[in-house]
Amino acid sequence: MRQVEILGIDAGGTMTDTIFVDTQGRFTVGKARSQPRDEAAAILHSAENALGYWQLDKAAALPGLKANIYSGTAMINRLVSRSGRATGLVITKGLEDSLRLERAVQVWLGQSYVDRLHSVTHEHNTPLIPKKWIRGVRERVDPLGCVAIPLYEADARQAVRELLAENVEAICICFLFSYLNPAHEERMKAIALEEMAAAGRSVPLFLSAEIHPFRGEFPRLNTLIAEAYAAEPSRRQVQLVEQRMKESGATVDLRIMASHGGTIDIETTQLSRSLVSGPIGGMVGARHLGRELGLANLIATDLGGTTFEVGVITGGQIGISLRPVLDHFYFNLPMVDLSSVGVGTGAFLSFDEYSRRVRIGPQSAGDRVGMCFPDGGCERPTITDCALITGILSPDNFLGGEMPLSVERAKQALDAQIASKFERDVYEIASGILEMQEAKMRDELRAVVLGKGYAFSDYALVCYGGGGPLHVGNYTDGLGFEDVLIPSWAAAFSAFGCTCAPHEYRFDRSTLLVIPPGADDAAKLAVARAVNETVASLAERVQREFALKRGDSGEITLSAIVRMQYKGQVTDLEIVSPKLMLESAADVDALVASFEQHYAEIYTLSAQFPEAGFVISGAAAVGSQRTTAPTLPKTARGPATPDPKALKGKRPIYWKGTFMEASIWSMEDIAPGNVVGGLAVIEDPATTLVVPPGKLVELDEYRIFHLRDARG
Amino acid sequence: MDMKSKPPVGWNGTTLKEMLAASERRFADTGHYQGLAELPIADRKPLLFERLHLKLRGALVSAREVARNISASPIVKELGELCFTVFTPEGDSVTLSTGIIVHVHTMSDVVKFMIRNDFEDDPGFAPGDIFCNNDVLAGNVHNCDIHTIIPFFWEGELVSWIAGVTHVPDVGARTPGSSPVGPMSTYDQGLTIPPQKIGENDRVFRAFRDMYKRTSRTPLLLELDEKTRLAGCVMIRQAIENLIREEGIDTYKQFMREAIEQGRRSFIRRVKRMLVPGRYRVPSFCDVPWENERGHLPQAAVNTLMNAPLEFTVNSDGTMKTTLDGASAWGFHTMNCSPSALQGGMWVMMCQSLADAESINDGAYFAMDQHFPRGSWTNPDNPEAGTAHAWHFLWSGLNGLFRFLSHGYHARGFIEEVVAGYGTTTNILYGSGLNMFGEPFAATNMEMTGAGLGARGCRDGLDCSYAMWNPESDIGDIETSWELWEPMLYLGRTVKPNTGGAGKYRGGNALESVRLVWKSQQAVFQHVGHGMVHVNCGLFGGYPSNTGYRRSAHDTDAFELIAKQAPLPTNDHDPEHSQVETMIKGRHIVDDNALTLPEPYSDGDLYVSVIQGGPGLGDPLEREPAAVVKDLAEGHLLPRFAERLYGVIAVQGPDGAWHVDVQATAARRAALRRARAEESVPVAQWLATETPRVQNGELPPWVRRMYQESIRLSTDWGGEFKAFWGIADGSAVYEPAAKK
Repeated sequence: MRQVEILGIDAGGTMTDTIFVDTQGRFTVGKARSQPRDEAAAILHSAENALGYWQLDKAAALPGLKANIYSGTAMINRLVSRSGRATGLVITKGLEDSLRLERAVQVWLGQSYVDRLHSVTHEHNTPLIPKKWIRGVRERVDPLGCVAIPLYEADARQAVRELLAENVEAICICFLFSYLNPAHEERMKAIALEEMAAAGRSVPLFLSAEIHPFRGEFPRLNTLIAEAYAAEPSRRQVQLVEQRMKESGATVDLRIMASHGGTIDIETTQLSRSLVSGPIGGMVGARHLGRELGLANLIATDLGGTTFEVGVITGGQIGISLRPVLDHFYFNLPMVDLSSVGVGTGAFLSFDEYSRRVRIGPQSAGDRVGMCFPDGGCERPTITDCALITGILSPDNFLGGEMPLSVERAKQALDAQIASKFERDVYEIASGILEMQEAKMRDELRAVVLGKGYAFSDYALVCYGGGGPLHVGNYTDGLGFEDVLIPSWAAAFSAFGCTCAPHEYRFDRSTLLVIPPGADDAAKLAVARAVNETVASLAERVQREFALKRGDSGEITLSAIVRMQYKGQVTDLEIVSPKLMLESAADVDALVASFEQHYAEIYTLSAQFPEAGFVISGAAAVGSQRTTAPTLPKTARGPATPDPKALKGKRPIYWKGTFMEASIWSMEDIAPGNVVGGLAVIEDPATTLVVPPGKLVELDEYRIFHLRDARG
Repeated sequence: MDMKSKPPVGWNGTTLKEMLAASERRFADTGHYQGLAELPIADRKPLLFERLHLKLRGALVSAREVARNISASPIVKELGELCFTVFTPEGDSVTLSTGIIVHVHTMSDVVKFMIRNDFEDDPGFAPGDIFCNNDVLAGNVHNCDIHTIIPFFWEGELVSWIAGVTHVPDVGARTPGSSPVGPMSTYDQGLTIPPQKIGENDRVFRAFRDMYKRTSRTPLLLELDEKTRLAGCVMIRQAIENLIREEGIDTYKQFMREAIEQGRRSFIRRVKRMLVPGRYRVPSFCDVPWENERGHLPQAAVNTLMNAPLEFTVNSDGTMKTTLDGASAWGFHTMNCSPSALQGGMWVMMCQSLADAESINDGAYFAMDQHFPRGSWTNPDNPEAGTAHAWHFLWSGLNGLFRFLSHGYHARGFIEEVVAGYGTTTNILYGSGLNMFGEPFAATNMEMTGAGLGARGCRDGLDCSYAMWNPESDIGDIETSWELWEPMLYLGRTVKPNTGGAGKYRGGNALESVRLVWKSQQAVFQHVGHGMVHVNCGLFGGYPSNTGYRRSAHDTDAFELIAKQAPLPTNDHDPEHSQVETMIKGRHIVDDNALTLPEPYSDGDLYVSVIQGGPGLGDPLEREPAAVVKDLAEGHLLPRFAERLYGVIAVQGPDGAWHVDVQATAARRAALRRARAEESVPVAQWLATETPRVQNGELPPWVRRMYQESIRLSTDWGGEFKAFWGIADGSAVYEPAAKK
């Protein structure tokens, strides 16, 4: 009897994906249309779909689960649609306009390159908190952490009384430099508690120094508000999912994917950590793949309907950004560093009559696919239309044939809107546009990999997402990756990744600790003490989070991270500290040496300059607990030649200027060890893998395809 | 050694000078760049053209992204003030990276300068050579923009030039900062590097490095910026080598030329589609009120009014002509411009509006004739003229460009593209001394990018988020940027009401900050703004935005107020009922001299920074009363102006909410319209009263001097001016004795 062990959920805006993993590491994927009003129903429906492939039902499968991981877009949607709760804000007096100033950057953040320059299109976002619910309180802490203006307590009491009278449901408190000295925020909280007691009405309080004590008041404010406004109200929603899962037989608690790449309990004090969870799964999955295959350096690429996203894993570590941009908002959160470009398979194509050039995106058809999908209501062709016209995509295999597509409609639209303007053949244009899209993806890879000072030859690329396998042969061409990996389950890779994530908390704090050039041991020890104090307080917070969950007694592994820069520099680098606590001047030297080595690896072209001294600009504590993760099922390799029944037939494909005969294969009938040479198309209900001429793929024992040049 | 014995490095055995002359001749003869009537790649192989474009552009963009990490300067790293570009051998820009696109053309001028001045003979051009420039006489906006230029060779021919520019933080001028205001001429505005060879075999000469490091207050930052530029250029060279191996040298050569001709045609097509032929006059003015400025030499201590009679002619074939004929003379300050700075300023605006940002290159430059009169501030033609803060005149002088384009857009129905103009990014806070950490600082506060964009064709302007010179504006965090440098605490950073011009659609309001000097030593601060004149004007009946003003308070009771927990100002708010003056005792300085030299400040002093809003569009009496009430509720409009500017009678209820009195508003608007009619006089009558005043020179001395300069420098513009006002030739008031 098959024993189901892990469930991963990806509750997206359109589709809800689930993936079950059994004790042998095998998995099954389910899909269902999302139901915004009843998220749990869609998840259960999707789970039934997945279990159906194994002839199991929920009652049999769910009780055995050892891990149940959720990821979704509910929280970010609440933010984008401004449907959070009524939140009040108490801020340093004089900064009451912060949300409408938006640091100016939010009028263009998240726009395409062309619109960023096209200033007449810039616009402010509707503030998450209206002016009437914002109060300024006079106080100031200076950049050294000293009190410059004491908290005006009369102002503080008045502010709370007024906000309570406005019936706000939560109050955020954000003061300048509170990350250095939280005394004023803490005193403000005490005053608010007194006033609420006197008023006989209590609302939850959120402090910026508690949520994320990080330098940069505007992204810190956004993060704080996201927590109070969108994340906290979403807690009920995930609790409901857990409740329904338990009613259906699950006994294990639900965990949620956090933006730093670990999973956290849904009781966490800071749910905004999971503001973005869906795209994170893919990166965690890629890292897991790397560990299983012994690959420490990976480039993860996710080609979806809207964007092409790229992330980097170096030495088994996922790159982390502390200032991510989501939608048009600038945040201050540790988040898996992903860069994206709007050339997804649904990107609209247009002809610019002035420059007489083709434009790709940035708008996307999303789930409307393109002109080829008659019910989609699109008016412009998309990348998918080009893939259909050239023949790399079969009109009868989209979502396993559930969505029949019209090649004729695609051709007509591309011809009328673009090819005829150039007086060129529609096949030539379609193929040329695919080359343009692939060139843009290659540029993005170059920018990300070379931009961090890395070399392609040190990295293996992992390709996933609905459109990845269709284009991977071209977007990796000529870059010289060590290997190119295409898991056969690429279409559900993000949900898979959720099941691979550790149970992990991470808390950060900004610091400003200077190690001057030629510092003596006493100076180094002073820095060590300050780092230790910060790490210890953050580690205590990590422990508290784990303790929130009753009966969870697994061993917690703690580690420390510091962020360092040369004094005066603007960007800092994240270094995993050699020790949790720095005990000697030699430990500080080791930290500095590790930073300098890391710096030299990245900025090979620039000289190090230790003569400026060093700054420790931040520290973090990370606590992990071992969890059950899927082991990739292994099947022995067979012969290089596939079973003849795997060959579905042949079809002509327009490839770079000429029609070529391509062999068409059924993916599930390709066995480990089999090699397929291009030009070939390997199809599966959820994905299509194209092998270009001159290249071949080999399926390994984990059912991962490896793409390489046919001539070694 | 015989200089002429060096073999030519141009194509097919020619010299670069011959190539440049041939290119100019072909363009003059045919009207097409390089005489290209046909575009074999772009027309017949459009997708190959795209691929080449993407590859080259991709190389430039990734080089920029990698290289910027090397820099330690926030101006480069955070604000992105760097840019790379690739040129033909003749120095025409083929494509460029993102970044300070103002330099699409400046470095082109530098390459041409080297060619015209026989650099091919001395010092010669060889693979691995490195050239540098920051001199506006050769081609630049101001001296803090430093260029690194390298030649790219393929099989013995110079195939392309590759260039990078960064905006460095300090050039060692008499006063601190990247664009110092205080120097009086070239000779005290810091570092000047005329075009020169600074290295060989990809290595910069040590002597050159020592020279510039000794000159700046921030030597380390300059050195890292120099590495940034060179590293980026070398990366691009490698990428072009790969591109040529993949596509062939002949294809690459042909592509470069076609890309420029295609950029020219693209621009012309847009002009034809979006504008209306005709002659457009969009003048503006700017003040430099330095008559009483201590610390200046006599020739600099004068009140100057700058005249920018900007004019565009759109021809029916889609080409354009622009002239600043009639501009006033250059002066002893750092705000004069070079022609290449003006071209750069125009292109940075065109890229935000008319030009296609994806195809921008020198092609657009070839579609436009330009004239900048010698001796004027637009083309001093005198090495003494300071240009270190050329932007001051640029962003005021070019304000009319959006007005001109908007007339065309409006006429052709592109209403969403219409914009009335913009607020200039002033006040700028400059300063130096020791900061809160006891360390030396030289500050330029970039929160000036919180200016207002003018009203748009069908909606209000953008509040507190626009910089004409960098559409990706960012006012920065207090915690990560400004208070780490400047020994001043923010008491407030707010939207300043009424800074945007009134109109049916109002201009965007601007930012205002109040700073309390704190833990400072030897601190000096400076106001850099416009206080005397409106540098923009409204469109279609809209009003201009605010003029700036200077306010500071010294020897104050701020710390006593803090000890008593008494209120402190968060902004100056309504300058006629100043919060700062109401709340703070001390020596207040408030006047229209918004452009000062550095002045000493000590702890407890207050510095107020008022930035400029954008102009309005349409008659304010046509503004929806509901929009006026919303502005009142949100603090965008001071209550007494609802009636005065908009004729809206708004009443505040006991809950503080504002409501429109519909009937009273209708009546008030009718009365205002009647009053306008009554005040109006026929133009002939107005001219009859004004003409004698003008003829007799009854004008403030700086206005009269401005016209004298314009008349002296331009026969055409001066002739028109004199004919219009009936001023006789030889009028003593307008024509000072000719210089001996």
